[in-house]
Amino acid sequence: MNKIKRYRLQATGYRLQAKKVKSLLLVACGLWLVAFLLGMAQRPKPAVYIQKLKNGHYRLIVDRKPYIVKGVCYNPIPIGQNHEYDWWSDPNKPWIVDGKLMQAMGINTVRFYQPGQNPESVKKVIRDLYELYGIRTIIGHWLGFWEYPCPFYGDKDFQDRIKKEVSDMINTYKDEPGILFWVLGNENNYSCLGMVNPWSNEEIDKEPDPIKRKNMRYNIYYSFINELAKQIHSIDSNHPVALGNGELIGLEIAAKSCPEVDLVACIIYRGKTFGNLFRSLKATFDKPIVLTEFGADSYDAYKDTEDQNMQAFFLESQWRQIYENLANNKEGIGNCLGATIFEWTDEWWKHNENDPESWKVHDTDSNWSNGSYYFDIKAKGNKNMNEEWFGIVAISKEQEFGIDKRIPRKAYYVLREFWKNPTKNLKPKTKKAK
Amino acid sequence: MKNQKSKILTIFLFLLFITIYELRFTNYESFAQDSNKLVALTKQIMEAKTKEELNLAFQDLTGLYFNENKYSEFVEFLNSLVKQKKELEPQVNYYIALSRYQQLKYLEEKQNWDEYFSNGNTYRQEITEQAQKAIGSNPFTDKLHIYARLILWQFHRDQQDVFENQALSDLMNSISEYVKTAQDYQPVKEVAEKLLVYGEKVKSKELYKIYVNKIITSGITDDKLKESALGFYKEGNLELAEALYDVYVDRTVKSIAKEKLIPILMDIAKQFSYKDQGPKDTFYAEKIFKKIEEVGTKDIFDERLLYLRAFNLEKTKDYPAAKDLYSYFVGRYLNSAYIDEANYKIGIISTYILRNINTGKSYFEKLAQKENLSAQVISSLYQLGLLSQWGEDNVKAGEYYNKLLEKAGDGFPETVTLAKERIKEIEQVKPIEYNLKTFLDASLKEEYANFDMTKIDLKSSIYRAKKDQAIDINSLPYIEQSGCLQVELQYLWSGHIGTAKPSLDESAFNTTYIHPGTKEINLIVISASGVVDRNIDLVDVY
Amino acid sequence: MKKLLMLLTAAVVAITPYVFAQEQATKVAEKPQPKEFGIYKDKNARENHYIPSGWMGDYGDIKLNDQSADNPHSGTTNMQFVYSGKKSQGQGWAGVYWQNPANNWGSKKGGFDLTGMTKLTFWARGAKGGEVIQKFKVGGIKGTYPDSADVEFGPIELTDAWKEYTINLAGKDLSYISGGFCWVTTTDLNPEGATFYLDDIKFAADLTLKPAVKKSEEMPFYVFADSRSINNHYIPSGWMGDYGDIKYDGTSKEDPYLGDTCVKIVYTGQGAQGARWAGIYWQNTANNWGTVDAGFDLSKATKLTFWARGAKGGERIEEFKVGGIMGEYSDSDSASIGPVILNKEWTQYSIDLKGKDMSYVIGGFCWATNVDVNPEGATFYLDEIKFE
Repeated sequence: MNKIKRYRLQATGYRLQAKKVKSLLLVACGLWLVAFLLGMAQRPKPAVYIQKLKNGHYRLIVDRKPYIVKGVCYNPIPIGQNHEYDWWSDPNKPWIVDGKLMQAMGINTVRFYQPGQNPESVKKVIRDLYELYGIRTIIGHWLGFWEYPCPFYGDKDFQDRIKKEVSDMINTYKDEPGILFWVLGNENNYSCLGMVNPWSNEEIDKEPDPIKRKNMRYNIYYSFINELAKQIHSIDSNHPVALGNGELIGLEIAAKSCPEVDLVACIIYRGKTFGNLFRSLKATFDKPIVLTEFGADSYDAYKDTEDQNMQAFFLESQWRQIYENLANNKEGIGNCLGATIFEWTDEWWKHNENDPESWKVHDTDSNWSNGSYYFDIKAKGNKNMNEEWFGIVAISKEQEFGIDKRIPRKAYYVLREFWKNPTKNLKPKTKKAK
Repeated sequence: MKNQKSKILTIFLFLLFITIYELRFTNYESFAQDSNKLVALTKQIMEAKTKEELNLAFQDLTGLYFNENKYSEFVEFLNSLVKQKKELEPQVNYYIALSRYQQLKYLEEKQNWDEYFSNGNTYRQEITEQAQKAIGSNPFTDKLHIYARLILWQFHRDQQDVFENQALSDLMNSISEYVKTAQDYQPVKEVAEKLLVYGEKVKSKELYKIYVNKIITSGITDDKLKESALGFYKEGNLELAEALYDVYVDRTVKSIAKEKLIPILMDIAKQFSYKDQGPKDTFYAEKIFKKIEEVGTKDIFDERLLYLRAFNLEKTKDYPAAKDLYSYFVGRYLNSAYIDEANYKIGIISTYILRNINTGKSYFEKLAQKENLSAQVISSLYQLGLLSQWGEDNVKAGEYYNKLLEKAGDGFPETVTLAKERIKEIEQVKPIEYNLKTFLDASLKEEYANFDMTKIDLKSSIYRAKKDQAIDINSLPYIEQSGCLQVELQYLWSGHIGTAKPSLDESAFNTTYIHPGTKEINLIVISASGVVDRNIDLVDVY
Repeated sequence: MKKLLMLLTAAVVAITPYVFAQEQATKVAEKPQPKEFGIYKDKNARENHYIPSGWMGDYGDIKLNDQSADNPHSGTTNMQFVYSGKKSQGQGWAGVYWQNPANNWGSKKGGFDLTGMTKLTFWARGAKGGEVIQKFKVGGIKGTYPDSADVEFGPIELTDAWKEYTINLAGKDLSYISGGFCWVTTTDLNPEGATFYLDDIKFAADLTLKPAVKKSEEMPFYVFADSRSINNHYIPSGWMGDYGDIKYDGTSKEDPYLGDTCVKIVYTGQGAQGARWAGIYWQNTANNWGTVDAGFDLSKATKLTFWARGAKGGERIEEFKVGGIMGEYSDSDSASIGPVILNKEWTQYSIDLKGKDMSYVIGGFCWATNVDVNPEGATFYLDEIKFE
């Protein structure tokens, strides 16, 4: 009798224990769910981020919607001034006039190579463009590339100073709603090759093999970029960080040294098309790309006359290829997020920085040559790239609204029409051979 | 009466019938000048019984319209043709695609922007649509199928879009299918030529091989083969000529007697070896020279041919081989008119290209001892002086220079001028002129062995020049690109550069020489981070 | 036992960073003082400092190629300056300052502390030889952040071969130098312009160098011999009174007394500034009214002589003077003659300096006259102005 009672009691005990465990589990689950939901609520998606799709394509998401960068490099230096002019503080506010024209064209983004000296003025410009015209801003930093005698990327002091400058910049502007993303450097990678703004340090100098020297420089430079990108991510989780790069040169090293960047911002001048740029990038360094500097000049150096059609021809062809490689176009690589054209307006100081008299003149001489822009390659010395004629909007000495009058060029109109219906002429599928 | 009336009526109706029948052909759009020809061609097309007739007629028709650049008119005409006879669709598809392709190129060339911008997209679409229709409607045994694939590939290649690669491999595949049954290999040749123009050397060579095989397997005789090859050579199609010559040589090596073959091979070698004017392929020439050596022996080469072979190697810039052959030459033909030149070149190549100063000096010494003066004898004295001066033995240098002046007398002005400059430097205790000194350091010092002449190309427009003949010297540095950032390069010229005085920023210049001899042109290229590379070239003036 | 172990571990952990910090501190303390501070070694050289950004005067006349491979002194590049002498900005002179940061004319803090350096050396050559650089300088930037020193050197006539030049900085306060180096020259000294090269510019700490003692100048000491003469001193920069009434031509070829040129002065007497008198002081440095320590020691001079003639004859110059500048740095004395009635022919005049203290002279020469004694104005010529 006692044995049975004992067993019954044991059984009841076990049942009671089981019940207890069940309730405990239920409570625990409930708590966990609450915590999870709270956690989700406290971690909103970043304002701007890059989405990788299942098919390996990339898309830029801004305020939860896909965004194609249709932009211009913007540096409205008035006639008679040079790059030191603080246009951000210009009481005539050129960006008000320009923003309106840009919006009418369909531009949604501007790019600044580096913000102006006065943060309050810069913020005003970013805010005006965004609030009045819905135009967002890409901001970059030169990373000391133009410092004299050269950018000392191999020296820790130099790197630390640049790191501080960059973090100051991010902290200053990160809360501006108009910010799209950051760009580190422009074509700084060329300095690793030793031909332009070359730099070195004692260790590199000791290496006799020039190829190894070049790779040492690449490693130093791209690791530095990686640290900068990490630093920016820790300060600002709302905006992607881009690696500014001339062509794809050095990116095979960046793939190992610089994984922290979110995208690449390339400078490409290949003429009518970008060739196999997108495919090559995918194979070398699988990050999305925004072409942050490309385009064509509007001066025919061979015939020695303005040629707006030539510029429109190149730009239209270039934009067709950009659109072919946006996300979800099955026939493209799908790693392009858009582009910013070089540039919005002509800059009359560029041909001879040292001669203030020449800043008042629309110089037609050329300092560099590029055979891909073949219409005027037969110019004297093959110098056919006219630095002061890259704007898709011309400026005139005549004043309007207190600034140099803006006169849109043919490319402005051609691209405006193109953007109205850009996918109309993406290629149909080809039939494969039997 | 009634009978007459009905007779007249019958004749009239008959004539009317004939007229209306003829009118079929004149209903099409035509332009004033060639309307007769157009009518005739249209008739040919409509009545063609065989594919060949049809193709010929279409080709002529195309020529008619294209010569006048009337592309849109042609497309309209083609569309109207196909309405009349649906069977012409495969041809019409192709020719519309071709027209639009040519039209876009024409618009771009003439910068006819209004039409380009307003219709460009439409035309592009038509090219791909019509080309694909043509591919679908023309069987792969039909050459239009090949041509349609070619147009499609060219179009994608021009755009450099994502379809380019697929289009190319489709084109290559369809050709391999085509050649299984086709007799007419002309399309293969045409595609090969196009591929070459676009820089697809490898694929082009593949197709030339196929073309050549066809010629071979068609039972062509050896002589006809040689004739064919020569024909292509004269056309300037060296690829094809070489391919055919290769086959010819393979055949004849087994079938013709050595004594007969060797002169033929020598002829072929001469065709391809270096000359200032005319088609040449120095690598192929050397290939044939090697064959001659294989078939005969090295002794087979007479003085002229041996010298030609060595000179060819020198212009190929295969300097070690050139030096070896010049050495062999001077050993064999001690009394040749080219002996001084050959010895001198061995000296220069050994010293400045192969960095073997001692060997170089020995050859210069050999020449310097000669009694019979020549430009190379005087130049050797100069080189010996220069090398001593560079080696800081100014006493020895002075001796050489003075001997030079003594021997030269009033002649050899260019070398004498240079020698006098060097003497002045020694007398005034100044270093060797900077450009020359930099070149000597880069070329002679062991620590600069990495300056191996691969990063700059140096060329002369003429290598066997006459006195006072204008010569263009050009340099091309191979440096990595730098986008729109300007790489400032500077060019340090030195040596026997004739009457010109090129400045630091001139990568090319033209000059003339006032006296015969073997002239060395030295170049150092400097960038922001120092010396990029060096190069030296030799021009013979007669 | 456990507790002891934990304590020991804690102690080790605590002491390690301290020890390392000490080592670092010692390491830092042991960093040796640099013996050199480069300005230009080669294009893009790590040792380069300062930027040649401060273009002055006729800046449109200047072209700079800082990576010229044309026969550098060392390395593969040197700096090539091409001065056209065309007076693009109408100044008649031009120069370049090496600044830090670029374009800092004293408004930003960018000076280097070069204490310990005792000289600046540089190599220079002219494209042809004969090019004259009026002066080279170290420091001298004024403004909110002025340089602690201002040292001049020159004039220099260049040869077509590389020559090394040294600016003695021993004893100078080099604690703040933002204008590291500078050259200035004039069209007078280079009427056809000048192309010249500089290389290996650097500061060095040469402990054997003693501070430059101001030496007494050797006689004859020229104020003006010929317009191109390297022996000229003082600059006719101190225009006084009705300066608008004066036209000065330092290269007049109208019948000079000696050499190719003489000085021609046209005084219109129109009272442009309402003063009714005018004059010019020859000063060292230009426009120095006693604010810059730049006086010459002319103790060895017993007289100043000069030749003068009037265009018509009869022009009256009230005073010809030596010295007399008053300021923070005053001339030690003054001496004058006048009034002088000029002849149409060249006549020599003399200002007696015996008994005068000529140890410090900023105002080397001066003339002054007025409209009352020259109602039609006065045009006159001067040549061979010298202390002897």
